[in-house]
Amino acid sequence: MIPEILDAFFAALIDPGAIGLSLVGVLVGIVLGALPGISSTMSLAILLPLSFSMNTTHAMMFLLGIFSASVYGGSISAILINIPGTPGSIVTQMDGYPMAKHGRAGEALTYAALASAFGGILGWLLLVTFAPLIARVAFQFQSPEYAAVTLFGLSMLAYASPGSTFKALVSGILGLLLAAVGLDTITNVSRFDLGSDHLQSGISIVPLAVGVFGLAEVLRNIEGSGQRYEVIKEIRRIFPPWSEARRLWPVAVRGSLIGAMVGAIPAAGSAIGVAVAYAQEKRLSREPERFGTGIPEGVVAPESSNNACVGGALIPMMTLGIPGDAMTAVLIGALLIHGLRPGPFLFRDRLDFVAVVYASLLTAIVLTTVVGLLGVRYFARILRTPRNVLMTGVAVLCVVGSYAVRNSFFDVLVMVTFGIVGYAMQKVDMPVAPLVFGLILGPLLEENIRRTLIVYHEWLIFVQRPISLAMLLVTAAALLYPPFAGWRRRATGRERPPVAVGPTQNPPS
Amino acid sequence: MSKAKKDLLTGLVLVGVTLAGFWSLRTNETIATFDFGTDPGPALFPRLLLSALGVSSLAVLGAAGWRLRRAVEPRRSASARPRGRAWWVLSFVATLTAYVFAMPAVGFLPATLTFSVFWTVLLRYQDVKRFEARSILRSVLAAAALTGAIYLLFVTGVRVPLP
Repeated sequence: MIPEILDAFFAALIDPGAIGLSLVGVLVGIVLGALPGISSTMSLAILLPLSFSMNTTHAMMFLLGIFSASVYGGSISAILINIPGTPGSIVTQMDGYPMAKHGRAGEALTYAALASAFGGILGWLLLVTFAPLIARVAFQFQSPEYAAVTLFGLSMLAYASPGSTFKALVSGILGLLLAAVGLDTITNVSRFDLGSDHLQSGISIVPLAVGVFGLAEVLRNIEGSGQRYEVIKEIRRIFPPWSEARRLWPVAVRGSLIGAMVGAIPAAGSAIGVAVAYAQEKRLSREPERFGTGIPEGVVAPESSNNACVGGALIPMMTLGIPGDAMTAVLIGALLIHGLRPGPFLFRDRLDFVAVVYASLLTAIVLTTVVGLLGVRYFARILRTPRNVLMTGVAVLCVVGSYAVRNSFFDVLVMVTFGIVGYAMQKVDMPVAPLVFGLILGPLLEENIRRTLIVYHEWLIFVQRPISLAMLLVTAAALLYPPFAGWRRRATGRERPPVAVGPTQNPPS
Repeated sequence: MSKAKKDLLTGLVLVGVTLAGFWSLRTNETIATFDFGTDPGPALFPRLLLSALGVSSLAVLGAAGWRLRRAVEPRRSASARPRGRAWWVLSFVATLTAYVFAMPAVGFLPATLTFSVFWTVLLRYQDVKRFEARSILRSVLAAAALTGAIYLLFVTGVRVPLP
């Protein structure tokens, strides 16, 4: 197994086309991640169709380049204009922008790049180490366990989503219903097709994801006031003093470990990881009152966590087929287009692909660091991209990208429809990420429930098998805890404790 | 829109989806007549989901009704309401839909160029609240460049046969 992985790993690394596409992905990812109004998820969703004509290695190099770099790119706008470019950089702005206002913009950007590299490498190491182990455990799973794990993934997303857990759950149920549209995979009976041949093949994940993550954000931006911001243009010193930098490595280690572990929890997302990492550093600090005034710890902790989340989020995706966050949900769409079903059997049947993912992520981390450090003086120019050109360009990309999936205008109409649906859902405070998760996990959940009932002829089997029972108990706890906690607070008259900046799976505009 | 009204609207839509879903299953002849043996059949999962959705929609409506009855939600001041922003969104959606339908008829380049020019100029107006000849010209050139770049990227790069 190891020689096979190493062969495929090094083959990917010495492919000049693959490295070139990774570099393109990194450059595009940094630029789009830096632009307010374009989140990492949106970047990946609208550029995903470009990967369809590529082979699997090139596609992974390109997409993981965008994935990793856009996560780092969000720190640029957080530091230079006090607006997070991505949800994961919401916390970086709290100290990054004050550092920039004190004339340390260059140093803040360098800290962000180096912390991102550190976190990215640690997340990668956790992925490489633990993914095969988890896959080995997952091989023991049968249909009851798969059904329970899938339900667990959906419930975690509902728990982790901003705002109402209940509304997130409803969004997930809608996603599961959308997954039922079209031909049933077991009996080939068509459901909810409204008499349309197009709907018999189901709703494709890519147009839906482009619509809810791409077009919906364009609509929100058009409705909004069009953010005006002042870019800090003066970049003086780039490299921070060594005496200051060398004492920050424990901060980077802690942030990275938190980020990787949170990222590995299905559906948790980087926004939670960065908030926890920042809060932890503040708690451990001898001078917690300095956080928020422009200290390097306030940049290093969230940025290392942010990028470690990338490796962490790939763990449940690769081993269980469950998205680690909204971005890996979009990535699963890409894998499905390329004929790959993520899950433990990748580690048995497609070790070459596993190696390609490892190589792609490592390449993306290295290139992001290099480009990030070289580009510190020039990033302010990215932020001068006119909004009118940006939003129009994104809308056209959404249209063309959805068309490119199957050369079908029906997919474009699906994209437009779900763009409107995504926009409307956000207006009524209903998170959209669970809708996408539901669409991806629906077939998995249904097949495994029905397969279980076909084999075992009863529902009790779900609570008789220990792993399945454990997953269901955790699911129940995740869903019942928020209303219980709310009831307790009301009953005792206690105020809700203040929390760090709330996570959002709905990208900020 | 107040939270109560948002919940009311949400609840009504969810009730509509639930009823439409159950109606679709009921009128599906194959599901109604076929014996699937030991397989619980393709209707089980949707029925479970629709039942959950139905209960949820009633809960949302209940919460909305409770809030409306207690209603002491502060009125937003006129200055806080976005003026005419909904029309921008509706216009964008309408023109986008027209663009999608026009593309197979007139071709990608004319349709995209028209859409891009229209919205780069309008969105610029939305930012600065006036039309300026120089910025209109820049917007037109940017839209043309954007259209050309996307065409080259997808036709030459990704090899998608655009109309």
